[in-house]
Amino acid sequence: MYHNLLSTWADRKFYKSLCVYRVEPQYLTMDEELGRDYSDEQLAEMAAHDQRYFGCLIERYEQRLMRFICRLSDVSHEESEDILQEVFLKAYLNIRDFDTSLQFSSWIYRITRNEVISQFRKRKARPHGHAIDVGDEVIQALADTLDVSRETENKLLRGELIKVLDSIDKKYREVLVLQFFEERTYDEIADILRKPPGTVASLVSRAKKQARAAWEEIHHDTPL
Amino acid sequence: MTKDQLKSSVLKRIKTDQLSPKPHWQFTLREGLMWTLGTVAVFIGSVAVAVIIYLVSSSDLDLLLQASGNPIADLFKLFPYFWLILLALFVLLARYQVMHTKRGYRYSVWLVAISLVTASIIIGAFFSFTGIGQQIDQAFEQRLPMYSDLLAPRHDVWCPSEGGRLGGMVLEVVDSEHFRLIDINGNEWIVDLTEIQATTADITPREVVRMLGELGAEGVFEASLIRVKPLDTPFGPKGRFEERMEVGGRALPPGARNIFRVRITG
Repeated sequence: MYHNLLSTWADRKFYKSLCVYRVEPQYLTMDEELGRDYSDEQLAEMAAHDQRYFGCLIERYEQRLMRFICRLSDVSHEESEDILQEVFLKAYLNIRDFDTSLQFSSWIYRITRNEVISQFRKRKARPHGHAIDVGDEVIQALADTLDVSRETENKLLRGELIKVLDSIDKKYREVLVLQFFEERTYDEIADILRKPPGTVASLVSRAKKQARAAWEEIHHDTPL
Repeated sequence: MTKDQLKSSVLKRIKTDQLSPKPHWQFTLREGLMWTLGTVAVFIGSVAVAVIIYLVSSSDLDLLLQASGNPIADLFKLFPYFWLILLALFVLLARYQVMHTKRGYRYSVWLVAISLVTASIIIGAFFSFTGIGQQIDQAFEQRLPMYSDLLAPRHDVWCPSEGGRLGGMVLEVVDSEHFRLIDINGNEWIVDLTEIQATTADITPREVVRMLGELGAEGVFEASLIRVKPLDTPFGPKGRFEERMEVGGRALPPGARNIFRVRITG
């Protein structure tokens, strides 16, 4: 019921007063409780005024973004944590730049991607993904899309797909990671990469083509 | 680091470094700056279009194509490279600005570029209608010596050549069939109008004319077709004509329009 109260300034004032009520100690013991009723976008709006709501967002995105960083790069766990910390600090500083008509997840994924690229520029290294910690069904979906799953066991398939993803261009790997592992739609990928959706569709198509070619190169002795 | 540790660490750093979200006006200002720069770039592109329209419409292409010789080579000389390059640069700049606005990235690069070119052409056509194109061209010609020589060598096309073309400024009307003319290089000519094919033309001193015809005896041009340009038609860079007249010790022709008027009827 609070959602509808966000529309006008007067309502927001009233809404703020409700927040004051809600931040009584008995409600603050767990941030999940604090942010439970709100969408990410609402939390982002409130986080500009109260950092405790930002804590809710950290909780919601910490694991997802950590996995995303690992999928995009070959940094150590400690380095991923440092990157993630920077991501959240940048997100907090720029929280008023968040356009509520977009999805918050796209916005924070964009910051994360930019931070990973920025870290790699500092290290002057090419990012390589190394952690494809996804379920078998995701691996199978990717393999089906690439049409490479024939007669290959899941465990083997996973290892080989990691090799394939490591061997293709960075720009292609990241769209495949976003589409299959992060399960983002074309529109969301467009918002994350700041590219038109049509360009994203072409990138995905070319990424699949290159991944198929890389697979065939790995399996040149084994006809598909 | 556990789940809570990272959150605590971030929130602690926010607290200890006394970090707070940047104010909204900073983002609004940045967005406004992007749109303003984009608009300015489109405006400059439109001015370039206005000058291109003026240059093309005032270059007497139809007359040039009737000339003997190699008029196609001269068309390349008349091609407004400078303004086209300027238009392309500012369209690219505007495109960059639009693509870097909050939602600009969602549109295709080509769609944005074509929209900006279309906007520049429409606004440029309006500017051209108000005479801005001509004013800008003349201002460049008067203030940038290089502009006439390198960037807009349109006057050379009307220098006497085997193509039988001549352009210049009327110095003096001798009689109803002859007048004296000075070309862009400062050479004086007697123009013979006995073979003229034009329907009607008023020739007065200080007017700029462009003609087709043949070279006759030394210093004589036998015109077969003549076109009188408006009085404000540029004739070489500022001062060039006047300087030549002064160096040669010649008096400038009177500026009054109606003296020595000759009416030529073909």
